[in-house]
Amino acid sequence: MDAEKSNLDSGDSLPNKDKVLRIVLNTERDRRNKIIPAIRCFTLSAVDKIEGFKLSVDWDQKTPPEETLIRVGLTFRGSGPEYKDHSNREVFAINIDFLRGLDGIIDVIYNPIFNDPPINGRPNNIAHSLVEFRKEDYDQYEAQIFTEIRSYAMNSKLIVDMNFVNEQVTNLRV
Amino acid sequence: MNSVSYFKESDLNSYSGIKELNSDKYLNKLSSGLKLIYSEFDENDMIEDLKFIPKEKFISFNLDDKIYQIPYKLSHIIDSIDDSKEILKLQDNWDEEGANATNLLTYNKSIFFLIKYSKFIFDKYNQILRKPHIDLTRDGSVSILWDTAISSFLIIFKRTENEYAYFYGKEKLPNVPFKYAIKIGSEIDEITALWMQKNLI
Repeated sequence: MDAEKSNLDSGDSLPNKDKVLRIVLNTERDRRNKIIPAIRCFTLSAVDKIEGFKLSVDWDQKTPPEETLIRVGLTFRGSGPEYKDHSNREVFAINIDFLRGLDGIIDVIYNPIFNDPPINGRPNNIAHSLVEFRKEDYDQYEAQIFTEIRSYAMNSKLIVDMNFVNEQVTNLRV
Repeated sequence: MNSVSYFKESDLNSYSGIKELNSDKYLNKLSSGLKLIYSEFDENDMIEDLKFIPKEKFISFNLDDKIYQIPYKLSHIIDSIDDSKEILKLQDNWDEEGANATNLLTYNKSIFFLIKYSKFIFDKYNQILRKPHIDLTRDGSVSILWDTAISSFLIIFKRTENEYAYFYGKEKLPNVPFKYAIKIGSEIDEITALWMQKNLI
């Protein structure tokens, strides 16, 4: 995947008119209970909180959904050399304007990941961006904000060409 | 498994008539899943503690090494609890993106809320809550979600030592939010129960 030159710098706010893509893990239980996407997919882990209450997403202007899943398939689990499973993931697109309108979200910022030379098992991602949450009262608003994000996402699942994704992952894994 | 201070069996009993069964005889016979009391045991098996049970079917379930009963009409609530036990098996980094596992204490707090409110609403309003979905969040907290055609309700029990569990309910048409919190281990909040019996049935 060749890096594309961005006209935004890291830390800049993304345009309201664009969307961000969130990769969601779907389990057998989610499918059985027809809870897709699950609330949990949009919540913050303890590490996300330590790192500033930020959720990883991709800017849709810099990546097609297929590429987001290819990157998952090329990323090591932990320190490697085993790769992550990309086949149980789906991609949802969320309007940035919608996110900024939610009480508890501070901003949606650009945060590209680019290493030169590239690091095996940690692919570059020039689309990488972050949704910043307000940390002071996160526990109090999280039920509301994740209800709203999930409601939005239920109608925004992207169709992904998984044959293409699988082929690329197979070819690009070292 | 140790008993947990968050759970006051007296709270359940005082509202619901749920009776804890302490008999080893029954503990040995009841598995961790649910069973119909009257279909499982003949009259000779009855112990004194069971004599209060009215002539209707109850189901029993295990929580924190104790057995409780609730009316059979709420068996779908127990189904959702049984289904949710999978989340207790998940280890740290279960999503390969750094998500945290939950723990038994947090899980039991959420289940206790679910049983307590389901039973209270059944007893007081004669209403049956729909089946919820119990899940964990990426920081290891436990969530309970109801999502119906007319409303939704999400409550999150934090893995950390929070005194409150915050929730967000919403009537969809018109969009009327209901945002509040319950104090964990406290008496039933009747305003919350009233909203639930109106919107989650």
